Amino acid sequence: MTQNTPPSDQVIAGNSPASRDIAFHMHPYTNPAVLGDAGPHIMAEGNGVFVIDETGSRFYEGMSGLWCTSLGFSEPELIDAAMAQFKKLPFYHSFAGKTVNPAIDLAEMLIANAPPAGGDSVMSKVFFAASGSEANDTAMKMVWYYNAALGRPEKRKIISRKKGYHGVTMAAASMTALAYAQDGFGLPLDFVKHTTAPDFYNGAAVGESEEDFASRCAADLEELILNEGPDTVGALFAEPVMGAGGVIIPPRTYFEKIRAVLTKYDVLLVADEVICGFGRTGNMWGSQTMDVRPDMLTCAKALSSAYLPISAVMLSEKVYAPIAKQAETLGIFGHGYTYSAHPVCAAVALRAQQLMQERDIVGHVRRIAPQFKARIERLARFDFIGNLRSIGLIGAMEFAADKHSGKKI
Amino acid sequence: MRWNLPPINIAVKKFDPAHKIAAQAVAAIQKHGVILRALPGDIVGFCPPLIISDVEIDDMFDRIEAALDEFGAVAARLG
Repeated sequence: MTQNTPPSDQVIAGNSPASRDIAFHMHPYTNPAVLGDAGPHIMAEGNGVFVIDETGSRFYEGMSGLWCTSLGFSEPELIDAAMAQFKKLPFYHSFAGKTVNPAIDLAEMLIANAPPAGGDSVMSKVFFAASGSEANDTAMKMVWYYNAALGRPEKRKIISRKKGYHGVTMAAASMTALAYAQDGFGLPLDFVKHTTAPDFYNGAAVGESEEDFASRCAADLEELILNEGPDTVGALFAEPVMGAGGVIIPPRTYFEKIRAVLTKYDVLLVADEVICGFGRTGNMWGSQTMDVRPDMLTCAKALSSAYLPISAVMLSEKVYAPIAKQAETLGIFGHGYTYSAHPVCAAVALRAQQLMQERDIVGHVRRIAPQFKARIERLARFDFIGNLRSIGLIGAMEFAADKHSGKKI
Repeated sequence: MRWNLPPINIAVKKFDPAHKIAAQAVAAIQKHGVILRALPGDIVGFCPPLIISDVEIDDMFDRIEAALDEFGAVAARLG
């Protein structure tokens, strides 16, 4: 076996961790030129809400990493749960009817705590994957499978909202209607369409009320469905509160109006709870805070406080029943991942969810959210801040070149 | 749990996107010991761990405000 020889610029890269990182590690969501000039920021330790880098500098992790580390960076209970499961059974799969106890307990717990579903149905089944992107890709395939099972395989176009973020795998990135996730990749794929973002601050006309703006968003959605043909539109994917697109809190009455349009044309609603799920907005689910009533739900991140990769798709009985029947006809539900219901990931997620309950984390979020909101609103004293918003423990400040300029109503 | 969005009573005037004002602010805030994230459209997100305490929220935002006090000169130049 010959040793792979790196290109010469890597050979002379030096042996510090930073130089080796630049030489060998292709970073996600990173400008290579900036990485090359500034070098990586190497994190070494975590402690509660803090992370400590290799130089010993301590930082508040004001983003929970990537909106995910809900229980902080040093929760011993999660480490213990992982170690116990590692020792017992470090891997098994869930194909062909196999499973492990932590996955059974976790699925049961997720269904017990599920938000109200749409169409007078209830959430009844959980499918496990390893990331939010995988969960959304899975949900999209389930929409296709569902409509094929109902004898309308052409009802498979997917709608997401501009500024929506749903992940970066091929289908998920097509739904992520942000230029940075699509430019250079030839995305979105042609069956994904984008509708108006519920961005009141930037999207509403001067003087337009929240309710009127919500009605306009719903009318835009209806127009898109009619233009595409209702018989070709399978689902809308939507975050209850948009995260990476700018922490966009929908205007009052938004989801009830969106829901009405979707019901009218028999289009499924998939709530992307990857950021909102598990207490972030002051309820277990963003779907409860925003009264979304989804037919399906995807979640990840805080499911395990991000200590290990695990995600889930929840299906209402309305969606699950035809899928199960079709799978029986075909002899198998032909979808699944090696890491679906991974025992160690499931054990950590189960313990994280138990800790959420034992420590009343949702109650803590509700108690502390007014202070969080007040501290965000205090930033209004800066002339370059145009908008401030928060709900639960998620918020944003938006810059404006001159918040006192522009046309007054 | 109810929420309110501030009324829009003026047209929004944004910074030139080329300035990447949010990314600059995030870098300034990080020097004060807080990691945040710039989002598209000149937005900075806040999403701390759910276990954050009242004392930690105050200290975190004191640091953010101190950074933004310094950042005012940059914003004034770019605006």
